[in-house]
Amino acid sequence: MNEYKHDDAGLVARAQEAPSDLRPFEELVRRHESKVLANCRYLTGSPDDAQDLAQEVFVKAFFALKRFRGESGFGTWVQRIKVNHCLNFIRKRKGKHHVDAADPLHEAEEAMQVDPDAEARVEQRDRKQIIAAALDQVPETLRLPLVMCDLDEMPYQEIADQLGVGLSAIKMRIKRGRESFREAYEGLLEQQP
Amino acid sequence: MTDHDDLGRPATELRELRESPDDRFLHRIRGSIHRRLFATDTADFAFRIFFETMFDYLDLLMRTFLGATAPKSTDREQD
Repeated sequence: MNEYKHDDAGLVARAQEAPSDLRPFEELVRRHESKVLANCRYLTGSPDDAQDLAQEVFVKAFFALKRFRGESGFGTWVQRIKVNHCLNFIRKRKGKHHVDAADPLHEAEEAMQVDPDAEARVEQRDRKQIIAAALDQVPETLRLPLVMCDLDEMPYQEIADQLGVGLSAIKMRIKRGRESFREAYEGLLEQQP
Repeated sequence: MTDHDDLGRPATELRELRESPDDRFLHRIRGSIHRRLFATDTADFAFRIFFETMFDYLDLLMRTFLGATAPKSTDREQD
């Protein structure tokens, strides 16, 4: 049972007042975990690292909470932490030899086999897996601004600042990213039985 | 006009995209926070102990030297 009826701002205030009591912060985590996790997964394109990244984002948020002034919503604030954390992760990964052996189509098939009894949810899961697989096919230079724009709903200017790219280039990349994503999505739909 | 007006399917579905974390997700966050708090407290404690020990040591040295010379000066004053 959910004991907290507060909005995010109320929970943040309670967490700031009593940092040793983790319950208000845990409630904030529960409210935002699925979106943060999805964004980590699609920003980095790495399902294996997404849980660890999301976990680190929330731990960072906890220790930075005393500096949070509430000028924006908690969700927006966590989103900034998450974007910075994921971009740092991507930069570090680029410096290493990285082989991603996960085949998006194979991954989609595997995920469909996880819960064969839940027939009512298969269609929805199918579509989600196709979207995930289509996103994984979009090149990273297009996927990053696309996810920041369409998943995080960040303004163009903020995306441009975060990625260190000009505003017009970002608009172009998002446009091309959406086209590339649509192509991949439709291609994957056609392959479906 | 906002930045997100020209979405259209399937890009609109990206906004609704969510991932369910595993059951241990919150537990791992809690554990990570506790570990970091413990590490911070331990470092803080060690730092404080180090400086308190140094302070006591210097205090002892000061007392030893000043404590040895101080009676002489009082002896002279008495003479």
